[in-house]
Amino acid sequence: MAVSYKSISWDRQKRFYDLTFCAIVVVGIGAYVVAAVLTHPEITAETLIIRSTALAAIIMLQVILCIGPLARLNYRFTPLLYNRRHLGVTMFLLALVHGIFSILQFHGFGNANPLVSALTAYWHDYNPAHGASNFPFEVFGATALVILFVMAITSHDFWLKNLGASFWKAMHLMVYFAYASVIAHVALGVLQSERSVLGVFALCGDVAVVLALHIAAALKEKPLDNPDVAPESEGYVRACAVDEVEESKGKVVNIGTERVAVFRNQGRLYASSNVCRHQGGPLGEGRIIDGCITCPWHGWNYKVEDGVSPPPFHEVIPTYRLRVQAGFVYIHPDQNAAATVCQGASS
Amino acid sequence: MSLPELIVEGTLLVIVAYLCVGVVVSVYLHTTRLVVIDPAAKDAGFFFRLIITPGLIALWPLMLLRSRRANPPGTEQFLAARQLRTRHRVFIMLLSIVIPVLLAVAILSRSRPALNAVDIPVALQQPAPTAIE
Repeated sequence: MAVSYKSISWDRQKRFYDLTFCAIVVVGIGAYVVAAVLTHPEITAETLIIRSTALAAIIMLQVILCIGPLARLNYRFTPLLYNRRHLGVTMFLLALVHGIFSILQFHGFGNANPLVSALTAYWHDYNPAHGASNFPFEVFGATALVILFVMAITSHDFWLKNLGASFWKAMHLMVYFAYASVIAHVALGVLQSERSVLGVFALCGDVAVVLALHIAAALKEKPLDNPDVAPESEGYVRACAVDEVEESKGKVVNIGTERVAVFRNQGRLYASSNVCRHQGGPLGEGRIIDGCITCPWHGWNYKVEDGVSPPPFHEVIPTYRLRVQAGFVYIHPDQNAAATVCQGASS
Repeated sequence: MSLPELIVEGTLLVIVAYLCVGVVVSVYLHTTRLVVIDPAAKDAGFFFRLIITPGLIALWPLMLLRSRRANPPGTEQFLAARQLRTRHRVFIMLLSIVIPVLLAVAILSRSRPALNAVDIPVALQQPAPTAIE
């Protein structure tokens, strides 16, 4: 949260996160370069740059894609979400270096426009009778790069606010289309000429891990969206048992329409929307700190009584009427008017 | 020039023209409209403006539309969280079908590398056949 914008809101956690992943990227690229030079002494600097940046970018993209489902499957991975956008921007920059050097190496310094040559050269050479050999794979790489470029330039809270949360999120869901394009680019490109089956197994294994994690997370989340609930007296819906909500912690429940977060603060129970105003993080998986609901993803705060961010911030989340009866929490599905102060229910 | 080359050349020209207009519009937005679009940008520093400039150049039509809409801060919500989750599941289902099929086609299309003496370790090489008398 910020009152005014900064280029990057540095704090101790972000610095540690960024230094760690930068060190991993540098060491990884360095190790690849050393191994490549030792096994192929004739390799040129341009080829080293093209291959090392490609490998680093695709590995980073797969790691980035795995962070989301890992955080859903186990809360211990949630801190990795904190600075994921820096990973994404770095991955795009590596992919851009790969793209520029590839175009210059294979299509530059000739008569034709390098970009035109890169996107059309294989149209002359491709023969469907030869399967995927010489398939114009560069188009897939270019598609992925354009999508990742749009995502990188909008990786700031300014864009999240001014493009609209739903549009921004829909735009960033294009990462899956970019991922499919990258896999097509690799499978129809370098995999066609590589003799070693190690590359084939590595790519298939990585794809299997990414897809498996996403399917596992989807299977875990799906039951929470299909609750067997029915309104009871006065329209209230039974949400959970009182004992299931711990002090200063939240619990995510579904009352038939949307997920709601139930919190216990100083012995009283409150209900609010489970969706953070920042990037839709699950507030119910957060904690109460200094009387404020704190989102586990990026630390945004909302007062537990009325869902309003503490001054000088303006964000508001909806709250719900809640009552306790016979050891169970009941929530009314209709949201309170914005900034309505709730007294909570004694447990 | 072949048809694919003409199409790509034409597309690149359109993109370059679009980005040139974007540069002009981004200067206009920086100097006059940015603070109107988002008052929180008023005290933002030079590096913030530098970071958002590529976005202003690439997405200038959206920002021009945005500058004409009054939208008090903090009004839009992630109201469609459930729809977002459903959309996520659909994407993953599609990827789970498309990517394995793509990989299978690409792997099956790989040409087998030709075996020759360079590829086979010496210890495993068969002796040359001798003529039968």
